[in-house]
Amino acid sequence: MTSTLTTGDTSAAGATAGPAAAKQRRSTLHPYLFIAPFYLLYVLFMLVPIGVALWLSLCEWVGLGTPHWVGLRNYSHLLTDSSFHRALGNTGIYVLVSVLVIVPAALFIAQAINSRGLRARDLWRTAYFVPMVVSPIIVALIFGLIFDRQFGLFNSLLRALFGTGSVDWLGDPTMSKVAISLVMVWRWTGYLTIFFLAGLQNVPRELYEAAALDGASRFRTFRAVTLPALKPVTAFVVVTSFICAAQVFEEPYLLTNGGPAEATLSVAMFIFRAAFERQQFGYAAAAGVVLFVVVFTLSQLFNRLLGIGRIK
Amino acid sequence: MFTPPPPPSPPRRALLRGALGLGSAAALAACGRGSTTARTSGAVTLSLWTHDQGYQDFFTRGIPDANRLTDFTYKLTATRAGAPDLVTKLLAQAVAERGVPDMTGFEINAFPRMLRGDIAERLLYDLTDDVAAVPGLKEDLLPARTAPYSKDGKLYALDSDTPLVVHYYRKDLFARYGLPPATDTWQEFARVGERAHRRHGVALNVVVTGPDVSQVVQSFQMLLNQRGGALFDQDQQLVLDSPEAVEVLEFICGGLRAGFITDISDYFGGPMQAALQQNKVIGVLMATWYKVYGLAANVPDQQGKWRMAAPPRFSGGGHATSTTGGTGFGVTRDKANTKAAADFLLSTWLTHEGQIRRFRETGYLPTRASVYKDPALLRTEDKFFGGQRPFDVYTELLDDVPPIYMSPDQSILNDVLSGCLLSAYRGDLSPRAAIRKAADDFRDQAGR
Amino acid sequence: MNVNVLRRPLLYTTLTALLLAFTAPLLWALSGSFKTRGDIFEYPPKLLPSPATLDNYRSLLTDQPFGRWFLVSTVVALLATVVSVFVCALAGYGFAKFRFAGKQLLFGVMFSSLSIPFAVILVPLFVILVKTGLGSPWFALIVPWVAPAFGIFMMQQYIVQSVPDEILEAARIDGASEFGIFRRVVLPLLRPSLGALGVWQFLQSYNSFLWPLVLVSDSSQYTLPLGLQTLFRAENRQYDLVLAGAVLAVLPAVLVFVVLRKQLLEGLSTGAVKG
Repeated sequence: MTSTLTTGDTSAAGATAGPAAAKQRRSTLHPYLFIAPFYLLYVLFMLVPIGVALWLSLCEWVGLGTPHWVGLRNYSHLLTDSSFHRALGNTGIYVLVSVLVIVPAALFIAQAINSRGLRARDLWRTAYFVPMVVSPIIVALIFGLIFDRQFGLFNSLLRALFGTGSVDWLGDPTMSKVAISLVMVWRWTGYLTIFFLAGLQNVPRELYEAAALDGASRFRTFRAVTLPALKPVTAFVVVTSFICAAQVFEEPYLLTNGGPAEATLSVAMFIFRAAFERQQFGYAAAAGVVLFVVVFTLSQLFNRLLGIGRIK
Repeated sequence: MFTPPPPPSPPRRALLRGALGLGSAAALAACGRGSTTARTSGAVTLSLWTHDQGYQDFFTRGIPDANRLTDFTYKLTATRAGAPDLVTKLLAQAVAERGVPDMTGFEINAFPRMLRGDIAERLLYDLTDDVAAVPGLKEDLLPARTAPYSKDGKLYALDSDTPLVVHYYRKDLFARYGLPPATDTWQEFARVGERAHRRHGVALNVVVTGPDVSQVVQSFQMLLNQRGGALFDQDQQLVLDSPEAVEVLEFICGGLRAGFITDISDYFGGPMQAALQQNKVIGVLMATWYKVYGLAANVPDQQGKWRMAAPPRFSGGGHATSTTGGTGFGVTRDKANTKAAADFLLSTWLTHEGQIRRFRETGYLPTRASVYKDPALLRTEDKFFGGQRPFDVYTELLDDVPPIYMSPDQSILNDVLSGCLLSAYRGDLSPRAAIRKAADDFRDQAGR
Repeated sequence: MNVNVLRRPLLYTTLTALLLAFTAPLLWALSGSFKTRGDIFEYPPKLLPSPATLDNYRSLLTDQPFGRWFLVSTVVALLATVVSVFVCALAGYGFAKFRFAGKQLLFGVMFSSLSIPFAVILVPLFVILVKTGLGSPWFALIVPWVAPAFGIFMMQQYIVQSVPDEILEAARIDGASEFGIFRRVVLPLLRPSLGALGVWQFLQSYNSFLWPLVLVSDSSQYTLPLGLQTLFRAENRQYDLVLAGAVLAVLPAVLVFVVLRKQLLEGLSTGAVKG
């Protein structure tokens, strides 16, 4: 999970810093030196590999020996590969879950923690964040045992509460997607809550007081005061979740291995599987390029629309 | 510690041949190849990769034998990783052209990746000549266990086991429920099982439906091979789409519906353990090694309550049993230690004493037919099976074991077939449609 | 106030339910790690292990190189953290306090690197590193990951807000060098956000799985996630040991987090929110 945003406000802050700094600048080289380490690493470990991926995507390579050129064949195969389409579809579902379920849930929890006069605020937000701290392998291990159809904790609970509990969490094509989504919700909600919470704490109290004087309902206050104030945070959180969900790997890999029958296969897993289980490195690279183009284009579009990531 | 012995007057290789041969095979002169850089004698440290501590221990204890039988003095360093990860790492190191191990244990489901393109040929040493150099050895090795690791007439790995499929059952509970301990046909087994499930809520066998696709396929493939069907033929062509496959799948689906077969997420994990512990599963069709890794590991307190029997047969034909699992150890070619590693492997893995020791330490069965005649082995009693003599069962089955052939596209088949099997188990697809769909999907994907 | 009387219990109930949902799986693992293998799946499940046993921990620590995995993970994570905090602060300062040709473009490029999926560069990066002989874990687990765009962005935001231009100008008038200003004036002012970035980076590195899985082949250089994965994938599925290992592995991460949570939680949101 990574990411961030600037909004119009930031560019204003940047603008005030700008002229002062410019006046005093002694050498035009310094800023470049400051950002040079990043750019060096960026070129070596990001741009060069992307270039290699582009070239590899036009080759057939089993991992040993010399790759041999096949032109656009890998791409034309992707077009007709039903596994890849399924992986794209599943990844789309993960993205929707994260944007439409996790983000609103995080906002809701943040609202709750931000209630005036709440006790033990630190406890709540710390406890909710803890899942993010736990390594994915451990998460998968624990949930694998919890989701077991016959002996897992989850079905035991359902049985105790409702008398029946034989949900095949990891074996049924639909339920396995639900299970993966639940784990995503568990891991990411608390993390995103933090951002909303900070956003809420920055909403000027006077706005709420004004709304209260007007006799606005809770819901109206939320819509008229809270939401507009949270727009920049929301934008950031949505783009972050989108990028992370688009490349989700660990949950399906460790929990269901993409199964049953590829029902939980994600694009990142498809790439890993092609390269490291089937020795089709060229094909994997081509799928990687497609994922890159889709994610990059969409997130640039979001950034443009929401005004994120610009600087004056 | 072993100090290097003085230069041997008769080449030690002759000793190795003697130890490997049947009785007093004459030592052949003239060693084979050997490049200038390759070590041919002296102290060597072999690097070994395996997914299982048991193999590491076996080879470490085999060092004295290897020192005695070969011109080398060995040390061993071992690296462990998950079975599929081992192949990934091996290929990764091969790309890097460094850090490739001298010896690698390929779990049978992970090996097919080595068959893609010319990977095996580039990376692995062909053991054919070393085996052929010992009179009678080639004929003595069970062909069912060399087939999976062979390609184009070259032998790239030596199997750890002849993992015959047997039926494990709880003798105490079978007796209490009045079930016959062995049934002749699967049909009869079904009749008995159905009754047992109806009256006592127990299952006599399991099939895996969890996330590990190779286990899902394994449950099915054991029966398929026994029935005389196969996934791939000798030329790596798919032959899944057969009446045998449909028949076997119909049998499993019927068993699941009737309840005498139950589905489980994993042969080894917690749920299986719980099912055994709670006496819900009182029989399992599985390989010989499952006693150690499945039963004894999960329910050690049920020692003495289990027995094993030859699996029932299909009345329509097929074999006495089949095999599942195994781990082939291969040697990396063109390394300084290549010869040392090949000698080490042969002198620990393939000698009569080595195969017996392997059985005693790990429970893996010999891969040489002659070893099954060893009186000490035949007399062996197994405490876990209440003193039963397992070799009574093994020798009965040994003559009728079908070979298994692999394809580089095995993992693609595992992905598509497991999905179709699960659909059939759930009743979403008829067995016939499921098999056909798996074959079609495979042909669609394997061409890429 | 009336409304509050009704709402409060509801609020606390909801929060408590959520607390349970978020921590129960971990508590279950904690309890399981003290159970014998046979009891982990007993039905109905018991909250407290009885009999409780330390065997899982004992055999994990004596039979498995757990200490080594732990050491490798911690050292790699610490090194990565120190270097990356420095690189991010440098670049963040460059973007925040200078005006230069191409700044907008360079910043955009930096920011857009956030949306490059790791899966794309996984294979090529691996091939490049091993082919150039840089595949050693001590290099490859650390260096490619020390310049996360997220960290730079966070630093840039924080510096814009909390480092006044006047201080920089005063230092320049005193004749300090640009790098000297960064080291002596800027860095000390950044302490809170450096802490936040540090915790974030530590957790990222400590928990990373896919890249070490592909890269590390020598088991003496395994990181914790790899070691646990190996235990779990072994033929006899040592999940009893894995649960104990999971608990021990999670502890440092949770500790680091709980101790430094204020800095992390507030620091993380600086960039995103205050703007």
